[in-house]
Amino acid sequence: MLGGYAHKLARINLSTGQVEYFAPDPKDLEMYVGGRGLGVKYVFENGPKVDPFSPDNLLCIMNGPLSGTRAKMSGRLAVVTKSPLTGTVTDSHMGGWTAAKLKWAGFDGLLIRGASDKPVYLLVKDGEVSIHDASDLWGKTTHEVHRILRERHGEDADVMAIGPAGENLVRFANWINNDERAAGRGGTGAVAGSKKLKAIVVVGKQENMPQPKDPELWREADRLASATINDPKNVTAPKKGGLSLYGTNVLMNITNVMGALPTFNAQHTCIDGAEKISGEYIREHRLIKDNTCHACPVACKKMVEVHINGKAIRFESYEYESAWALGAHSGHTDTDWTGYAIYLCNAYGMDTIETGNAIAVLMEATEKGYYQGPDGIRFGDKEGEARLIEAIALRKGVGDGLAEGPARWAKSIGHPEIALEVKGQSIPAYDPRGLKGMGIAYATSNRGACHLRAYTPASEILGVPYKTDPLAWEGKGKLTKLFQDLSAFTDSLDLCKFSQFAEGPEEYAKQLSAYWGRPVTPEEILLIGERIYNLERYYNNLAGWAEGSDYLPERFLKEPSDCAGSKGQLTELDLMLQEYYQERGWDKGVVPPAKLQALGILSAAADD
Amino acid sequence: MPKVNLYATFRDLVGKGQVQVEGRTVGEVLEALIKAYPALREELFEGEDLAERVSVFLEGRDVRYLNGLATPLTEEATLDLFPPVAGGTFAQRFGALPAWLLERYLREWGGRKLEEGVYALPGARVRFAEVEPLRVGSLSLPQIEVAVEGEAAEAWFGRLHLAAARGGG
Repeated sequence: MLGGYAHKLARINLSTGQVEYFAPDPKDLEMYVGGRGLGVKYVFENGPKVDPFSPDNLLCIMNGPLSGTRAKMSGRLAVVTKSPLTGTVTDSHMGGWTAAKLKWAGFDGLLIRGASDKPVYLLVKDGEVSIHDASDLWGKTTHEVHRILRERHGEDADVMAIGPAGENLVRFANWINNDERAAGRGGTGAVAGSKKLKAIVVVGKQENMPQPKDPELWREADRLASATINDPKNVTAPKKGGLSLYGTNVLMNITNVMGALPTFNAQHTCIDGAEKISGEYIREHRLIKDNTCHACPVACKKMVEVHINGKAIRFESYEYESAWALGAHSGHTDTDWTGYAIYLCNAYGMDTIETGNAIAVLMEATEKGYYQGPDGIRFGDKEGEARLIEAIALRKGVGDGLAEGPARWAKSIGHPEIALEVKGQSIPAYDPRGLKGMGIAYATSNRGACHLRAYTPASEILGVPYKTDPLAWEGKGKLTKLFQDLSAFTDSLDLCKFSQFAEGPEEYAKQLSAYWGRPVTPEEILLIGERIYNLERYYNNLAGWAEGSDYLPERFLKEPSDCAGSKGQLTELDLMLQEYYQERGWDKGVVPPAKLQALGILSAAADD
Repeated sequence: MPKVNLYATFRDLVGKGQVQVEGRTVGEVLEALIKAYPALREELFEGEDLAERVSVFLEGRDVRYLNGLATPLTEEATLDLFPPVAGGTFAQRFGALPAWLLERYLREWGGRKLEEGVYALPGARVRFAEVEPLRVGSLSLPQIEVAVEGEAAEAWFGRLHLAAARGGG
């Protein structure tokens, strides 16, 4: 039996109230590992044609074989389902302690189907899942739910909750846990809302931490992984490396100078005053405390305090993507109002990236006269932005249309070109005219526009694993495939993306070998990643995202960048796609049967 | 007079985020900067040349992709000076791979240390040297130059590429 697992998952039917337990198939664990990979496998088996808001859609809450162990940065939880925003399979991950406690409570995952008549929450404790009335929680913000449920179940209880946005089926509603970590993208919180599932409470004791099958190898593997993460020269080095000191938002000043920061809905590629919403500025002027997640020495989380109309507001997520979306992309760099907008999104339970895009799309539509309603707002209108966030969450006025996602709304007013989306999901904080790799990464991401499937800035900005010119397209298809496969694997362990700034296939292989109790090679790791990526793509092909689905917003192909660093640049998508498909062995975005067979997907998934 | 924006550790050394100094080229401006703040010399230069680890952006372009130190500047020009970026895109230059970890890989693969920075593998010889870290903004990443030679060089280089694979997010 492979080590690292609780070897137990729960199937929860919210229509009937039935809870069943089962052990995962060992073959599935070897092929898909856990977390994202195993979740995708279960969502695939549930069928790619399912309506995301139907009770038949499957919502998977997953951890991986290293979750809850002492493996560094092993605090990530995967939420996997069919996305109501994109219609693709999606996975979204949150940090904190939820994943670890789920393991300690005796589970590798929760598979949730059906829909309850009345609001409910789940309590996961001592190897059992129970369903409880949540009528008193319905309508409350995520922060209120965390407080109430921790008062009820103890401070050690971990709570992940949806906010009013999830209840109102905002297609980009998310999950927020009590460490203010978000499973942000793809609308997994709206799927929970459609099932009337308000929260999941997890109570787990650390004494239930799984032990490695090969303790001697584990000591060695852990020592090496720790040494490279803590190496003072590495960017992950605690209290020394840039990621530890400033968090994700260390990038703001860099992308702004490179002309790679989409601003004013990507009508421009830089903004005056970016410094004011940068990690460096926040550390100096707004930081309260550096917090961390389970088993993580890096501590990239930053608790900050902003002031709005004389009121102090503390929260933890002044992240790069969020600060960009709700600041620069929306046409301002106000430190406090940007922070407040982030706080509001977390309270209502909405993806900051998608919300920022919704705001920016409305701003462009208003300024160009495409939208003439009384609640239109212009770039830089910070107070209007805060009002709009609430309007989206509660589906009021224009917020009701925007809650369907900026792509659907822009189409509904006859101007789809102003929505910066791929497969219905909006872009994050990198302009592909200034970072060409992001163009191919967005286009070929299996969950819609995304920076976390293949983080090409690692190479284009940071020289990891090797430096490439951000303005050159050559080689970016190959790089994207490598990053996609590596991340599909680490998302299945489930380790933080930051681990990849210090660890590689050798370190991951050693750690998994020690836990599994059988040899794992670096080659196998990339093969598993490739298998997961192809299964996702196969799912999407069957769900209707077939040939021609790997596109980019026209703006990046036709409107040249206007800022220093990338001035005059467009994104050479067709050339990169050609290179990428060749690397993948795909036919215009479609996985051929031979590829599925070679990776063991057809016999392992479809034929079962 | 050209302006120079300083970031991260440069800002600490100088004590402010922006300075104005005389000069008609990037080289002249940096020389003037060093005259005013001598502690910067060691950070910015290796001999007569701009240190590989330093990034100097003019209008957002790395001056290495322009005319280097000879790049002409107008009176209104603004330079952005980041603690270092390694130039070029060499397949053999890896990021976030410390030398001690590379040596560990080489030993695991049956490598024998011949001298400092040189290992013999079956059919190949590997030479490596840590170079200046790549620094962008407030981030600094170690960089290592690795060369593989010999009849089995291609296969070992492939193995090395796999081991050195990193990413991020």
